[in-house]
Amino acid sequence: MAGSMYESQDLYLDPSIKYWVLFPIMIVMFLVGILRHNITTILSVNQSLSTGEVKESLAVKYGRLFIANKNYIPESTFKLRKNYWYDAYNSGKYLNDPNATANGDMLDPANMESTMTGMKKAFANLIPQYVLMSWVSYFFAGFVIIKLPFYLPTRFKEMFQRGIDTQNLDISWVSSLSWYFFNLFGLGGIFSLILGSNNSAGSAKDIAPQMQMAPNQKDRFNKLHKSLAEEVKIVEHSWALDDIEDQILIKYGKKSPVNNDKKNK
Amino acid sequence: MESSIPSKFEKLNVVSMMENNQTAQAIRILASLFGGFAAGIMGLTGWSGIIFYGILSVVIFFFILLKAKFQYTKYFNGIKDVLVGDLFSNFLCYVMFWTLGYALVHVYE
Amino acid sequence: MDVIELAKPLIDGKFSSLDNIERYEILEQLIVAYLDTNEIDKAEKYLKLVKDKIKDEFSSRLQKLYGMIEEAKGNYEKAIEIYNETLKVDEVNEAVHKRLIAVNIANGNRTEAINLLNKYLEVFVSGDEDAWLQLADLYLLENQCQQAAYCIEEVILTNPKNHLYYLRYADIMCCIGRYQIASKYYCKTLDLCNDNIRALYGILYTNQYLLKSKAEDKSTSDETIKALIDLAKEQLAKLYKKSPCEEVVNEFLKQ
Repeated sequence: MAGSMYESQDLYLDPSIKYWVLFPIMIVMFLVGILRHNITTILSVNQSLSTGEVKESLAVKYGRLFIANKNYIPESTFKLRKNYWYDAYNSGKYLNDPNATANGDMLDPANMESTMTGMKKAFANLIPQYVLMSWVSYFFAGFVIIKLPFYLPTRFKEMFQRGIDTQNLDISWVSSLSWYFFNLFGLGGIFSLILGSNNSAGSAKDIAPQMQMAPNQKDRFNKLHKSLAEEVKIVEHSWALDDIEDQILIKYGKKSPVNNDKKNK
Repeated sequence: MESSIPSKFEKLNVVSMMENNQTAQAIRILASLFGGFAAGIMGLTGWSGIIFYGILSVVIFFFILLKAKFQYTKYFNGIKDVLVGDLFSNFLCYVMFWTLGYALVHVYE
Repeated sequence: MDVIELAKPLIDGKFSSLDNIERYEILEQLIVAYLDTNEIDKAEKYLKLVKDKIKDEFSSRLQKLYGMIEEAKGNYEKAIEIYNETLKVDEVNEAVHKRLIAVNIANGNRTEAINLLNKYLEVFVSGDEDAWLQLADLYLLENQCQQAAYCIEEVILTNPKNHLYYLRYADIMCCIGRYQIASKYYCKTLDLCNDNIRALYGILYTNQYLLKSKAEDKSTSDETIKALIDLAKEQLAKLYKKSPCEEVVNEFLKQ
């Protein structure tokens, strides 16, 4: 065995563990991940938006673009747009449903469809995890599977060596559950290679069931529009083209960049 | 030109930049994958494995810069993006394959 | 056409071996290409393949293709009918909206097209540069320069690094008669795109006008204006140095 800096306890493991445990877990998790991705794709296909929803989300996009690029249009038209959009956002002109209130009631029929889809997606992510975890800990429990090449603090021992009853076993020897966790994180990278970066089987999403946090608050856009109204009101115009002539002249070497003091003299 | 220096980064086409980042990320994942496997096979343990990962990322960083002919501002948003880029999941991928390689070669006779 | 040459063998030969999504995309492009070259019967032949797949389900893309075939045949009313029906079912389909507008333009029905386009842009208010550009064109054809300027401003907002938009805006400003603003925008075009000939001509023209105009119309000093004129003349002379129309340009510049 390769020497290491720590006193390693050498255990001899049955090679057939390799074939019957290590690889199967990896393969199963990989396949389940792909399955999850496909199911999520199928579920998201059926989501279609109505005109109102498109309108309000595009209005938000417009607002942001406007605020970002306001300096390139002349001041008069800027003022025009500023006033128009301030009114529009405030009066909820572009909103789908101006009277919507924060709807925590997810069973409301109008919300139902999107909530259902959100929940389905969340389940599609969570259930395979729990199922696999219980499968792994049921079938492959009670023995050491692998030696980690690094040293972890002792409190991980409990988690990684679940099912193994020896107290003094080196932290490096772990049970199959920990292999499950490793796969959970490691395969995320591989999925992004294979499925493209927009995949639903990545590891970051498994850790927290984020979908359950207000999947579609009805007045999400109402709030956005209100805040955009405020932003639009505040924003000031400083014309990027104000001294463009000077810049051009300097660029072509017709004029040297003097500072204002010298010019006034 | 005064006007274009602060907006130097905005002049990059956003879509191309995202593609560049994705490609760089793919390269990094592949590198950590094979690097991890190699580290496992070589029998690196503990800190030496982590140092190996550090060296690996620096080498990859260097190669990406080389491919971009050292004009990284033309292709990426900032030097930090090129170096780091989603470090966490890459590291986990590395660790997984490191463990796998190590186990396959060293633990089982 | 290249599209036909490339796609036809794919479709005829290896149809089933192509990936499911890709094959229909290629088929769609092939059909559109045939419509462009006016080989409508071939287009219909391939459309049948799509029909077989979709069977009875309602598909907006399929409806759009039907509409396009009617357009190619010249049956504009039928096309409009098909598009309107599609829109009743699928309100958010931008492509069908645009085809409806295109039919009206082809029909010569500009006012209707402008109306529809305005309604479309009320909903799809952001991110659709082509729509705004088309609207600007339509307004210009109707001689409504102010509205056209508004449209180009919208486009500038979405894409402030594209020098062509500034150029168009400057041209429209010239039409309206606001030469100071036009001059500034020509300068900006020059900034974004070095040695842009149209911008140089624009600068020359607007600044010559400004030189003779009253003080309240302009916001830059006479000195700057003269410097700009000289700059424009110099650059133009330089850029036309090797070209065959050099003498014509030099004559023009001497005025």
